[in-house]
Amino acid sequence: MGKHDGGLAGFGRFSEPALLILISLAEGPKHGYAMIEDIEGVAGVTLGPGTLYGAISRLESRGLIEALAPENRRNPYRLTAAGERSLRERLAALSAVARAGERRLARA
Amino acid sequence: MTWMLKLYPRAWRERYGAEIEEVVSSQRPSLQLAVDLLGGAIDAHIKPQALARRLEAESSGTGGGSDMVSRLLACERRDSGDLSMREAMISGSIAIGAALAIAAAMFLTDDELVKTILLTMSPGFFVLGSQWYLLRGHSLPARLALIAAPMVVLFLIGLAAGLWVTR
Repeated sequence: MGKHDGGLAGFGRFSEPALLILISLAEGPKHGYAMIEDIEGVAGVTLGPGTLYGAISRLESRGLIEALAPENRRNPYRLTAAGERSLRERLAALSAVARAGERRLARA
Repeated sequence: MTWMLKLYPRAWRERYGAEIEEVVSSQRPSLQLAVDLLGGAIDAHIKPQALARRLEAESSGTGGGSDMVSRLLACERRDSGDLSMREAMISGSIAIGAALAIAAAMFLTDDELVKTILLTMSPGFFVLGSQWYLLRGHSLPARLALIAAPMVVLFLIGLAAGLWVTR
């Protein structure tokens, strides 16, 4: 699993929020508030602004997301090509784990 | 609660201040929001060092994966506000253990100052476990700081009260 961290090594406790942000941005560019709402709708997880921007700063420093030109005081972000690759890698790893778990449950 | 953004480092505020202020302004003030912002501020101060250390220590690319997988596979988890059954049981056990330890200490000591300090700090001990889990999502140093700070405040209050009582 460690080899397929999708570039999120070192994110520690922010790895889950970071993954959720990447998933949210996979739909298209969004600003912070829109990400919070989208993540809450998709995953049922409510990210506080401190947690959200802690993850955004890490993702941006890794080049996985980038800021677009501000719109009405709101800064939208979008997924970079590297971010999309990271997200695909991470989701593939998670899917493999989920399938392995389901197979074991089916045999139990 | 936008005043709490002043706790963040200047460079961080210059980069993200306007947009996080927009988000914070749209949310209702709450203890949960305050804890989230405080944890974020602490993390923003230590982040450059912490992130560099993690990258150095995890040169093989491990880390992060098992934490995230276990959380994402627990479909009913929430990022804040809810404890899992396991977390609730551990938090409750810690609270019961703290109550027993405080009761034993109160029984064994005759020192009024010590008793006053223990009584004043007892609320902090009781919520120690739940606070730890509610602060998930924040770095370890941030969690330790957020839990230790109120305990220090309670200790100082207890000390002041105890000194007053025993003067």
